[in-house]
Amino acid sequence: MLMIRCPVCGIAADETEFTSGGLYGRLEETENRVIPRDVVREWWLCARGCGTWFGMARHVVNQRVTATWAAGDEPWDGRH
Amino acid sequence: MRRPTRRYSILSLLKEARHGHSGWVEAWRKAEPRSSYDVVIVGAGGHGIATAYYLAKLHGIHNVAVLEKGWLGGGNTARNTGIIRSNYLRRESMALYGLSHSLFEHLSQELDFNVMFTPRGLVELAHTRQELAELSRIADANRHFGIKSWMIPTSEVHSLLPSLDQGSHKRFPLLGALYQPRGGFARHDAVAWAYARMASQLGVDIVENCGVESIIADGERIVGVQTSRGRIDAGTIMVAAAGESPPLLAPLGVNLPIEPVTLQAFVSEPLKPFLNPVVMSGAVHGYISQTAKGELVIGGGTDAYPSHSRRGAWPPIEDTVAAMLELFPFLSRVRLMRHWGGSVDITPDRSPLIGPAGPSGLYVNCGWGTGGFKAIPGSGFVTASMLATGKVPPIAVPFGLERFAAGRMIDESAASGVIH
Amino acid sequence: MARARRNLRVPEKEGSNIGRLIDRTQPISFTFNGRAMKGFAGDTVASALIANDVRRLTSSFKYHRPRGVLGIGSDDPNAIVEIGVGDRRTPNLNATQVLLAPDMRIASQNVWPSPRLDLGGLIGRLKPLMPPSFQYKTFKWPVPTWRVYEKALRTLGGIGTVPGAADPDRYEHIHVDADVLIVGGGLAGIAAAEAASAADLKVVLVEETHRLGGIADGYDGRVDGKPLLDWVQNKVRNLAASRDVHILTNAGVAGLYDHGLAIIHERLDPNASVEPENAPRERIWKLRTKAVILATGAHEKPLVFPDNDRPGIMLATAARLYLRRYGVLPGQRVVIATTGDEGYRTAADLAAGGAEIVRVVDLRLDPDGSLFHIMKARGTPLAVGSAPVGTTKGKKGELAGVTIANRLTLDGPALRSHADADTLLVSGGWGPAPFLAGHLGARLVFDEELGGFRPGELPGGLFVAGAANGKFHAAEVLEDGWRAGSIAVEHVLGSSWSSVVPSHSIEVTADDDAEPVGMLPDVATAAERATAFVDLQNDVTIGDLDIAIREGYSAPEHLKRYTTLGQGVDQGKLAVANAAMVMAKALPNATPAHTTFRPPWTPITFGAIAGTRRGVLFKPVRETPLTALTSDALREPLGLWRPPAVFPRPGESREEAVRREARSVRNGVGLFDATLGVKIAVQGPDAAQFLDRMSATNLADLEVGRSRFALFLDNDGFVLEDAVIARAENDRFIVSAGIGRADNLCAWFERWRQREWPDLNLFITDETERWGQLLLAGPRVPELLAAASSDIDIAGFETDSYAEGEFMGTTARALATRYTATPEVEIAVPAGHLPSLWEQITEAGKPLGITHFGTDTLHRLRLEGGAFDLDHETDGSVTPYDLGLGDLVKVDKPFFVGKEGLERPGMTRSSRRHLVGVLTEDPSFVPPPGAHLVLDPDHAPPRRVVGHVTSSGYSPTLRRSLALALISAGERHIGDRVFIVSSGEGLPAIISSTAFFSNGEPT
Repeated sequence: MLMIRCPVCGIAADETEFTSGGLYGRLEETENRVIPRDVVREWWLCARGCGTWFGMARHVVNQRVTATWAAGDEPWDGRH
Repeated sequence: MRRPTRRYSILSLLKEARHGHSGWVEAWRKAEPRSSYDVVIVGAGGHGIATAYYLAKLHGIHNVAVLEKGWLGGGNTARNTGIIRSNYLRRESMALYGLSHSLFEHLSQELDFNVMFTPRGLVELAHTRQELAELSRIADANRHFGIKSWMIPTSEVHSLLPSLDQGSHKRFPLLGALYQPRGGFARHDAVAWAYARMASQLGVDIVENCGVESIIADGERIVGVQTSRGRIDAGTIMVAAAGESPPLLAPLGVNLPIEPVTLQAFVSEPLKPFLNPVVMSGAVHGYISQTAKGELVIGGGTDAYPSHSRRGAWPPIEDTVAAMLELFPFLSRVRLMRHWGGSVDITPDRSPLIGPAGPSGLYVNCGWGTGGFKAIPGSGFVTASMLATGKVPPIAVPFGLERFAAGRMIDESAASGVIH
Repeated sequence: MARARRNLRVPEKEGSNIGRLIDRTQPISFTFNGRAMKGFAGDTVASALIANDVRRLTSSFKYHRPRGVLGIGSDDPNAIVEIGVGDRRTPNLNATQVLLAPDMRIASQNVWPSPRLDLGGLIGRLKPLMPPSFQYKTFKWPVPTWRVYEKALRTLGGIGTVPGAADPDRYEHIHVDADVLIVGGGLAGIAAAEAASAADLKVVLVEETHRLGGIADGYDGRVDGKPLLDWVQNKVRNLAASRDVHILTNAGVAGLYDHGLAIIHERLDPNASVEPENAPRERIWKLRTKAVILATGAHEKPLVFPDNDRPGIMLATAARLYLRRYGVLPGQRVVIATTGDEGYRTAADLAAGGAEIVRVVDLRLDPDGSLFHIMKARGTPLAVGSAPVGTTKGKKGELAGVTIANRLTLDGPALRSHADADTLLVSGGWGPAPFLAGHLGARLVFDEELGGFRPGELPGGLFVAGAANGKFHAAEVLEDGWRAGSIAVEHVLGSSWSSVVPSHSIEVTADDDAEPVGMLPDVATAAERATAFVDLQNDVTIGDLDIAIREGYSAPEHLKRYTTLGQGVDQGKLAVANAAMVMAKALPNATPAHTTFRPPWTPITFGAIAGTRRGVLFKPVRETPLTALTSDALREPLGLWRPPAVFPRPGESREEAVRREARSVRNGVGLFDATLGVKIAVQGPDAAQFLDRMSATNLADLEVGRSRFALFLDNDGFVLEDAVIARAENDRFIVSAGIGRADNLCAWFERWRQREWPDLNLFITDETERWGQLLLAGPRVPELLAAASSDIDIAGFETDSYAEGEFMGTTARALATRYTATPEVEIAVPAGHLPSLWEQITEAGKPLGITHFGTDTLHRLRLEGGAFDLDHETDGSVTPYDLGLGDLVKVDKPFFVGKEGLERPGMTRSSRRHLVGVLTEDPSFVPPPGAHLVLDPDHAPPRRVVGHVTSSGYSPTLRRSLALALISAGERHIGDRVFIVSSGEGLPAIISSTAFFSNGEPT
């Protein structure tokens, strides 16, 4: 069970308080992309908290979360 | 020196019993990969091995390799709950799963291996008016297609399931059920082993511990695969590697619309028999059956996010157990013995992908999601014909990759509240 | 004739530690299989049964062989019994883990018809016919007979019997955070806890049994001058007093999961006085921790030889602990077979306890440990370099004697000897048990010299200490525990942490290495291998492994699945190491590997997993402000709610009530609780632009004070939601949609606002629960409203109007709609005001014959009006065109959500199903929703289907059945005849338009 910290409101909670929402980026940028066995950048919603969609980097095999960020505040310069 | 025993029967068992079972032979050859085959199948799960078997048996193509990066049948074939049914909603699905179901009926005889197909009946409970309408729709679709599956009233549900707690006091009172008497379950591992044994006897090479690293194309044509044990040439290649398929095809410019998600299941400690049919419930969200060994095999929804992990998260287990106790409150003191997960390959419309993909000579058979085990015989049968003739058989045509771009989805998610 | 039962309880001796956990002043009566027996407070069920000379506890799973207690903990594969009666009867409990309680009723399982006469034992005679997975090889012909065989197999399957009634006990969950979780309260766990708490970290120490100290009480010696046991007890007291350490006993770590989650299953002791009256039976701790230390100890390996499973065969250290803790002897004439020094330690104890040591069989050729020399000097009969190679049984299948052979001469018959004995204690050395590491994906490494698995590479934050790490001597264990505690501290702090390893003067006899052995005799015949059990719970023998390997099932997972090795309730804890040793010999080129260890470590109840989510708390019903005022309603589950379906009068059926309510609405006025109707406020300078992008419908020219019916599509172009959009002000819109859908719609809006158009300036607020809402419907609605005080001209309200103001003394919003094909007004007021408004309107409407109505009637009314409902007519694969609502799609908008999907060729192909009406020729026949429509009902299946009924019902207004259906190219087939098959008969119906009724008149 993931433990996630919302970068917007700061709450840290179980995955059941959040909603997973697909690959990070605008819709047209994420279409037809394959999910690798690696770290993926995804949208997550602080569903039971502040209601904000934010970005999260998670390894889809070992589930390690390496970063979360508010939309528009991406911790990298390029786009995907 | 005695002759080895190959055939399986009560007589061969009796004979071997007298000799300490020393005469049995390897179920399938531990083949070493050769440098070239007519057909290479990537993935020795149920679908891959069944395809190889039918290629050899029905189409006379014996020069076939099935390459497996781990152990045979070790993916979702080994992790599912063995449920067999064909009461799907859409015509395309009924044709495919119906074919598979009918092959299951005689699979033990066909393969000389008892796969323990046990049609104890399958009951899908309706707890709301909307569920009742949805299940009635499936029942009528089945009736007109010729699949023996129909709605039964609550009285009949209770006689099939005397232990079900479904009085009017419940949060979701029972309103009826969809019933498929020939639905049931089979022994998942046995299906993989049985196909492997026969395919091997027909000359197919099943190569375990041989991971495919890439697919090699020469212009518009497929020429072989690069594996952890060297390059293997083949003019026809089928990828049947579930959630591992998209990364293999992506370098060829083929994007399979597949999302990997962890699906969990669990068993209870063994109990004396009390549950005859398979029971599924959408509103409370879970399904349950009892094996011959006495274990309750239980499953529910997938984990809530994409994952290649075979270790699931805890919340879905809690949800599913709560659902089971709502149906069978007396199981509260019974214990969970083991839980596990598999990574399932889910498509947008919850129907599989079968057909040619990308360069000529390359095919896929994947995207079976949460319900692929029951389709193994039918899928293998149809896919073998596709590989042998180069033509997609009519039954498989609707499942081609192009259906998404064309807007011709075969949406089974609408009618399947619960996953199995 | 029943054998006279001996009393195997050792008499109390002054100054002796023997039986230190029992209180001989508190006898406890209990029954086993109906027979009255006595134990003492402090006994476990297992120790009490041993004291009463119960040898056979149960029958084995496959062959129904008699089985007795083998071990003293959760690793025991045999001691599985049923305890309790009535609704507290619990199957499959491990007798070693349950404390004896007064009047406990204990029963054997898997015995038929009775424990004394288990006819299942006859099956054991068929054993030669039942190699592993024999069922795959037979029962195939003739085809229908599998059903018969399966039934028989099924009857024989299972162990316990399910309880007959709902569980009266309570279970709960608790969520806790910790820095370090230590699993196991033995010496290593205690040392690790001490180390971690020295750094002021929050430590949770979890122990599976009811007491800390592990098996230290099985050893003599001194630490820092104090007796070992006293020293340990002192340490435990200090830990318990520490504020940083929380100790949980009777609690097992069921599983380790990602992100530091541990699921701990705590069994509350019903006899303990610290828990309140209605304490739960069990508790799940969901612990999040930064580090985990596995101090889970080791399992003493049984020996694998022919007929090694008889009652009377027990692990040597377990027997010693039963004596020391509970004062019980496993028997009176004892043979001990050992590969290390543990056997001597046990021999010394049992001899002191009064048992006759018939022989100590040491499998090593040249033992040289101090314990060996002590026992030799005492004149204990020894057989060095020998091994047990068989057993004989008594009348009840219990152990009667042991066959011993010299290992050097292989299996030369001349050198075999036989010893009469009622007990055989075995010790095959220790196999570490760090198996929980497997839950996090770690693979353990086989250590040939040890004959067991050691931790290999471990995931970050996971550490292993003590016997689980292959350290067995007290001094090593303490040091390793401290070491693990210290590195866990460094992991948590993220910096180095200097700790001084406490130095202890430890005087505990060190053992010589035990010799790992596999199958005995070393060169065994197939017949011998076929009766040498490696997994006692699932009846797996070495012969079974041989057959599996011969047949190619040699990959660890194949072997496990083919033979069922390790798949029992005990998860094969005692089988793992022995199977690996046998495999190492059988497959010299392969490295022995284990299969994946899956949670839980030991089984945990479903009740504990569900916690409080049972009964009314399974899915708690959400209520509206009117729930209390509508208690006369018949309710229907709908999402999280159970809104009224109808308000039946006494003696009225549901259908009669629907027809009465519908007629009342059509002729007068009806009142409906529409609180669950979605109300979302969209406001801001870009609100209009946002909604216009979201909706397929044109909203750009919507005027203030007006509303419009609009469709929202998903990315594929299918109908996702429908709503009425009202423009309250230039920059403020109110979106009203179907009941119970607010979460979906709001989430959909937010997703696009935040993710795709963060530059748009607007807010989205779900106001659904803030506003209570009523729906008034019927031709006399204007009449009713005319009498009400309001600053909205609500009586003259025309369809599609929207206004805000005051209504009957309350702030209100009003919207005029036409869902039910009759004048309709939705009035929303602050939720708290709704009950009084409901009562006022009910009162004011009495002269007009106002009727309360529910969802059943609402659907009947909208069916008459030919209006679609999202839950009935759409299923995620229906387009606006399919619904005949193409005019609600503004195709020339440059963009709206779903536009691209809708433009794909398949979405508009002519054979798609259209929503049309269906009128049965027999007006009283109501085709059920889901019924399919066919052209030729007499055609044999598969027959062509043209569509299906989505909604249906009898219209009391039109006095006939009505149905909506999705029919292939339906719009082009109005007037055509189709058939519905009901009870085997094809009933004709005519395809019609959906406009059954308009302005109160049939069309």
